[in-house]
Amino acid sequence: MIDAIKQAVLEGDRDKVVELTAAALGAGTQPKEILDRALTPAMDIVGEEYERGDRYVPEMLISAEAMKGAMAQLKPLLADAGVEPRGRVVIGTVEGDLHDIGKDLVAMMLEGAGFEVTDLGVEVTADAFVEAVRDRGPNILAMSALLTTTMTYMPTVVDALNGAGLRDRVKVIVGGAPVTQEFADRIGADGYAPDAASAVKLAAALA
Amino acid sequence: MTRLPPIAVLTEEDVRGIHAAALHLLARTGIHLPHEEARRLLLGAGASEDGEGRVLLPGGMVEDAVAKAPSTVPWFDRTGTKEVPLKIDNVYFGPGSDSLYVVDRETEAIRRSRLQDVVDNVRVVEALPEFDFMMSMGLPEDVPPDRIYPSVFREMLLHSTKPIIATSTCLADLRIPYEMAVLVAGGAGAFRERPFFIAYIEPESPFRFEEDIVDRIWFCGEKGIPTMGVTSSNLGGGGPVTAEGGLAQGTAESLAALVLLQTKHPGAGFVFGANTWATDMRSSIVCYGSPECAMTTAAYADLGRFYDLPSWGGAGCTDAHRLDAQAGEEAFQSILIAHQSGATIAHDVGFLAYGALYDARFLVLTHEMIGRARRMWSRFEPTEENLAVDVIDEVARASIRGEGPTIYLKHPHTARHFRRALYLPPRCIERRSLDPSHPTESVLDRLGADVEEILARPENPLLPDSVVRRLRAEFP
Repeated sequence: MIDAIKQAVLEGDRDKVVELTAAALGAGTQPKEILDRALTPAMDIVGEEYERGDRYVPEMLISAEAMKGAMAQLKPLLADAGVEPRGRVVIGTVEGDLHDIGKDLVAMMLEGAGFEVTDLGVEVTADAFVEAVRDRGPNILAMSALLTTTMTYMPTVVDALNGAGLRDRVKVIVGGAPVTQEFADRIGADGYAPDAASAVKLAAALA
Repeated sequence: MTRLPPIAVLTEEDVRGIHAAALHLLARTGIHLPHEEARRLLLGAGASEDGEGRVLLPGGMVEDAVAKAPSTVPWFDRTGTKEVPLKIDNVYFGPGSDSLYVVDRETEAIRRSRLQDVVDNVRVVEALPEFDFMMSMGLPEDVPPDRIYPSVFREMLLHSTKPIIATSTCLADLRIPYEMAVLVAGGAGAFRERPFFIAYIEPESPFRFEEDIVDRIWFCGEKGIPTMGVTSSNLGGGGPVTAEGGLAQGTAESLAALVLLQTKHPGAGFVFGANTWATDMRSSIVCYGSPECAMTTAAYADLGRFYDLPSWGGAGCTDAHRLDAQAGEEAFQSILIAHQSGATIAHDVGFLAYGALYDARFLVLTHEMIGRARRMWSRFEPTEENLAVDVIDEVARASIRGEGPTIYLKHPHTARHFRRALYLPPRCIERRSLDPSHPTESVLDRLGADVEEILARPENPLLPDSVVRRLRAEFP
């Protein structure tokens, strides 16, 4: 059953994942076992295949969607059982930027890897990021920008975190097409990842 | 994906005109044929002699030979499991042979080719699936001259399973590879049933069929090796400068080889065509990157369709001395045309410097061009699934409502179909987003990385140990 769920996630078959997860839970399988042995390993493979160039964005998206189908069932059960997530992430695209594909992909891949993700959506202001960090106490704040004109907002967010005295309580990671490691270093971010698969690795290292 | 119908560069009238001129040439000019037995055979079968001893071939004899030749010639990969039938409109791409120089992978200097370069290039081509067949890509300087052709053939057997086109300069160059092929196939009968190499034989233009040429063509007929008589009626070089005249001469020369083969071995497999490329009017090189190379490859395909014979051609080669913009332009022009002409054999892919030079990186790039051409010549199919009206409706509405698949990239239809709907280039092709402050590495670096990656892979043994030992011991 566990292998079948993993396989269905790899194939991006959301209906099957939902059905098999319900059946596994009904048969008494622990939610954490489904997460650790089916969903997370499946999304690890998805990430590896993408990095190797064998998997493409649409295939990563449908696998992530399928995985979310299982997570919707597992989340309340995991919370009830007191299972701690691997880490907590607050994510969003910065003010002025409404390109959410990359951000969505990172969010989904992080969830698949066992992180609790709070997605603030698109065009998130510095104030909204600061508020979310204060309220939710994440380990990681992830920002994305697709445009060279909007990535300049990223240091504004970092400054706001400093101003609110929250900077040392959270690791800041950045990404998006124009963003580079050098840019990340310059604005004082803690990490940069060029794609969703490496963002997961980065988050795991920093969380 | 369904291929679009082949293009024609010759009208039916053009074909008839070239055919008529070829027959006229064979009956009037005839061929130089010093081979005694061949003379007797042809003269006994309807040919005649002129005052200079040239053998004149009447039209009826030529047409008989065309009728005897099979329109589909069996050709297999070395394992005998994959058939690549030689037939007009089945298009196969592969490299060339006999280049003197290579670009050294470490120093990037141009130097003489060695046997290890042949091995490396064969391994690179073997790893690239758009290449349909193998040729040697080198004339190694570290092998005694009389061992060159057997040696490169042996390396092709050891490092590849692709169907092979073998070149030769004399009968021994052909007989020894044939013996190796029989060893590998497990007997002469097994080879004849599933021949995995064909022999490229090149009589000299104009119309010179020397004794060793006849010996080799007949040897092929006897042993079941598909063959050809590919002359070089290059425009303004081995042939007249006009493409029409070059095609008429090349056609006549190829048909003369066909007559020689079919008179001795009726029904033997034959590939029709010639190399009728431009001669440069400044340097006098044969121009592998000329538009005429692409045009005459397509023209021989039209003529091959008329005779119902598989046709010979070249593609994917350039006169540029290095992997540069000219190399890209010239190689792609002929690959694109060859693909859609229906030419059976498009050889010389990856040649630089008019066939004198190989650079393994260019093999990776031309391989990509073949994949690209195969995509470009596929047919549009307006089926319900492809028209995707429901998907368009769904995304158009979702994008306003802000829920569901708001963009096509997220729609399952994209995930389901993109692999067949879009050409997905290998990673040597740049498609990342531009970061002006961080220029990416050059295509040469990416191609070089691909070559190194292929050559770093452990090589699986392609032949049983006992066969490898015998190949090395008996054919040093």
